[in-house]
Amino acid sequence: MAEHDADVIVVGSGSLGSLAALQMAKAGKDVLILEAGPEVPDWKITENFRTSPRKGNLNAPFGDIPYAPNSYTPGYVDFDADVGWLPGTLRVAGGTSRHWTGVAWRLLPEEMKMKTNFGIGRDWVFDYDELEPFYTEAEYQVGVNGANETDYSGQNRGHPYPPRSKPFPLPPEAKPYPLQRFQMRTAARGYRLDHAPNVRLSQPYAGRPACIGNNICNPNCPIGAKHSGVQDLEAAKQAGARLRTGAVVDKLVVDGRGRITALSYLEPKGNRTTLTAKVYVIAAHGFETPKLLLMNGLANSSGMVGRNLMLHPTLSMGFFADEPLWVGRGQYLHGANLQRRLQNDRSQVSGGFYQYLNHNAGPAMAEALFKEGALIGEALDEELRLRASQYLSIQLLLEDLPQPDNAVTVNPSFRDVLGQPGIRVHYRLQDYAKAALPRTLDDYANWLQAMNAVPQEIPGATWYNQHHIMGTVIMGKDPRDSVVDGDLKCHDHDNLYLVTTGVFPSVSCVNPTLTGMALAMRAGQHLAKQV
Amino acid sequence: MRANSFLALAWLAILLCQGAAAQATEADPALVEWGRHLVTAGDCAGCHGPSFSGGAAIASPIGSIFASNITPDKKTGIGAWTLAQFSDALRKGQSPSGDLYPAMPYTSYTGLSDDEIRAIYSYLMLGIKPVANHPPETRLPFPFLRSAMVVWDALFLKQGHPTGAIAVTGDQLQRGRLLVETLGHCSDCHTPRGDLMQQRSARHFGGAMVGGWWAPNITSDKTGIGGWSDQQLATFLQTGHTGLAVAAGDMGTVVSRSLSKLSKDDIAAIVAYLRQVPAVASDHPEKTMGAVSRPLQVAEIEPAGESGWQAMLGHDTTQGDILYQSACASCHGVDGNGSLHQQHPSLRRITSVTSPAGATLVQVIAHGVAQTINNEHILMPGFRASMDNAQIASLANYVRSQFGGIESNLTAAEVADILDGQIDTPWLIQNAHWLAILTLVISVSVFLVILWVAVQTLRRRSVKVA
Repeated sequence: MAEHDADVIVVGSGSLGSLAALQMAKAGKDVLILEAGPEVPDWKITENFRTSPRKGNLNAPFGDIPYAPNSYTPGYVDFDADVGWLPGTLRVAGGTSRHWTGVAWRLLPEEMKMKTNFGIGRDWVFDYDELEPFYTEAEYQVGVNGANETDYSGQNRGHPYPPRSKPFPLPPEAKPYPLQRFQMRTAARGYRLDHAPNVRLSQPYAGRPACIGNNICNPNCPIGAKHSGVQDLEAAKQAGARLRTGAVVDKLVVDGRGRITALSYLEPKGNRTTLTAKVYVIAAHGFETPKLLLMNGLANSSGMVGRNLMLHPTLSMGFFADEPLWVGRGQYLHGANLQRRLQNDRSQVSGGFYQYLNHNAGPAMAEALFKEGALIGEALDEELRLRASQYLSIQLLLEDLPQPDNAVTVNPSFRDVLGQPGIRVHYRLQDYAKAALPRTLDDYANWLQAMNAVPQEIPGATWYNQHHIMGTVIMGKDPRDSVVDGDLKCHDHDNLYLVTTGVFPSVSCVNPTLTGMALAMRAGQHLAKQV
Repeated sequence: MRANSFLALAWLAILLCQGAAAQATEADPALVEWGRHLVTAGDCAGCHGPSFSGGAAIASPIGSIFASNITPDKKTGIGAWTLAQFSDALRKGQSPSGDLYPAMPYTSYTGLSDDEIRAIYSYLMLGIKPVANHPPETRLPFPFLRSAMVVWDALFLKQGHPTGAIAVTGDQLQRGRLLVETLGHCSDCHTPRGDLMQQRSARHFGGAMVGGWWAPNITSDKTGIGGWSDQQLATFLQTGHTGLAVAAGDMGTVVSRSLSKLSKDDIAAIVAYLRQVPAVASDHPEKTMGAVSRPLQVAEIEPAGESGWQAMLGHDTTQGDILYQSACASCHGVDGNGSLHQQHPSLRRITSVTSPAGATLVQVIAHGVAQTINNEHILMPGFRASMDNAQIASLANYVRSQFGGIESNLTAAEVADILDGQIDTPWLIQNAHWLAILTLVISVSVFLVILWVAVQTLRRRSVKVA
């Protein structure tokens, strides 16, 4: 009988866990992936989405599973925050990337050294050059469309930036009509629209078809043109990794020298199974990973587990242009304005970028009209058509700084059917992000004038955030103020690794998933050599 | 493409300089170039691979036959073969390493002229790089030994005459005949086979089951390509898709590696010749329902409203309409009419929907389609990982009846047979193994009885003598 149940046990079957598992399985390691939720094929999620009356709820089509609640299961997350949205996280084979929007940015070299360059926040343990090859590998693994010539710092310095070792695997998609119009009418005022690299295929790639504009990027691409963690999980399985679903991991056993000796999980009916491995990888995203560590009192000699929660504070704005723009055809997100990203006052004002939402505006417009209650019948239909066609919604995503008081903790007053506790989130917006409001209002005013538009939502009345969970198991050189080192190994435990966007010490203003994937591939390759 | 030819020429030049050309009988670049054309039209890359180094498993009802290495590598390829040996392999099915199985289409290639053989030989020896690769050994079960092929060849190989080819006159038709019958070896898949796996020439091109796929009737009968225009046929052969069909499975490989690389004139010659072939009706008629059903509305199939979490996450439904709406309708449409420009074909028009026994439809649902033809991607994802055989059966039944207008009662077991390639296998071939063993046992028993009788008789005699 083998000494261990597997060489490596990975807790969490999302994109990051699966990509790490894939690297190790490809190197011939025996990898066992444990997933709390079930396996559900994409076609079933499509059916659930179509029949669901809760269209705006990203998690709804994945069901509220009593033994593996998700972040929207009533009562599971106690969200105490002065920003708008509780991030939607899933417990299902393939993980939360089952419903990600699919924007795949890289960080800039400057943004990985915030302390050194701007005197604020924290530095990464390694620099951009170290991560670059893994960014490229991740882009080729998941199929990223992008424009090779773009300066993604937003400063239009005439050369592509950040540096890349290989071109994007796929060319950008055609620009949707609303963005063409917006670009044409705002260019004279100095505004520039760049393509947002993303995983909605512009042409078939690795067995996935090209996007045909169903415009349902989340919760679930109905044809698999958009990447999802299911594909990474399938790749890991093809490479030999094993998957066990319905395995709710709640206990990690540690010996006197700080090594993890065993892990155990509950099955949906409550049976307990204990397993051993040489190395344990927790890849349960930014909420569940710190929750599991806190429940077991592990990896926390620094006191930083669960702290430094960063969510990308967001300003939302919208208007009705004087012409039909017809948002809602093609991809959810195509264009971005990056001019507010790498600016000289980054030490005082959060860097940000604008994303232009190309969602079907119908439901949001209908909801507003019903609330106004002034129109019925044909007049209502007419007004709905007009508003939906002329509407454009924009979000400014802002950089967040690590602040220990913003934290995820265990919520013992919630218990699921297995007796597992819930999650408590405490988050307060910081001045760094708030300082971006005045220039945002300037930009918004410019756009209103350029588009001869009527305001629909003016930025600043409400603050929002993104479904991006970062910082909760923060990476650093110093074990006294960080949880993991540059290889994502816990400072306190030699054989415990955390593969999650929770390790980010700085987060820029851009969507974190591709960076998480690059980290996962790097950690997986590191572990493949270690085990 | 141009860079490739340049590289090939550069390679050729190097070979010539090194004197390696001594191996080949001719070092004439024009001959090599002609050979390249013949090798493309012969779709050698279809089985032997784009690098010609072999290794791919060719499925047959008897077992996998592995494509050999036909690069000029001396140890693992055909680099040490003489022109005469090469000629015998192509036209007689006899290679230096033993008799070939007819997965190698020598019953078609037997129509090649001496000059054509020389050109192909020159290209394979001089125009491609040697690759050291030992493909897996083909091991078919008893009684299908290589030596047994002598008998098969004596019965079914007509040297110099591609099986089923018809006599035609005129340059274009003769060119078409060469491309269709000899090089293209179309009959290997499209002509049904008899009990001993021989092509049934009376039903030449009448359509056949091959490895669980339906290779369609390509005669001008109405169950074949009678309803296709010449232009539709030409477009299909060159691009792999028209609104009527998409080249999937092995045909996709044929189009991507061979047909799409032929000239317009070659394609026109193929079409012209196919039109001359006597029409035969398909021997797999499907029972039609008269009219195609009214398209269902989404609300009829998927009533709105969330059910409990178990029902939401359970995914074992065998309701074909629900499976269609969930997995297929986003591209092919709720009504099955496909997309505007038929990038996603209409299921009411495309022939695979009504393929006999649902074979091709089942294969495509399970494995999808993935071809790159002249830099154009054709891709449909497969659903084998997310649906079981019963679900594939019910989905195929829905599509066939709803959009194809035929009665369809496929079962999970039939889907399994299709996906295993075990459909329409001749009885004799299916049972050959035990039949052969039985025959052997009977023969040995009879021999033993005779021996026993003989020994007894001898003993009695010797007793008498004593």
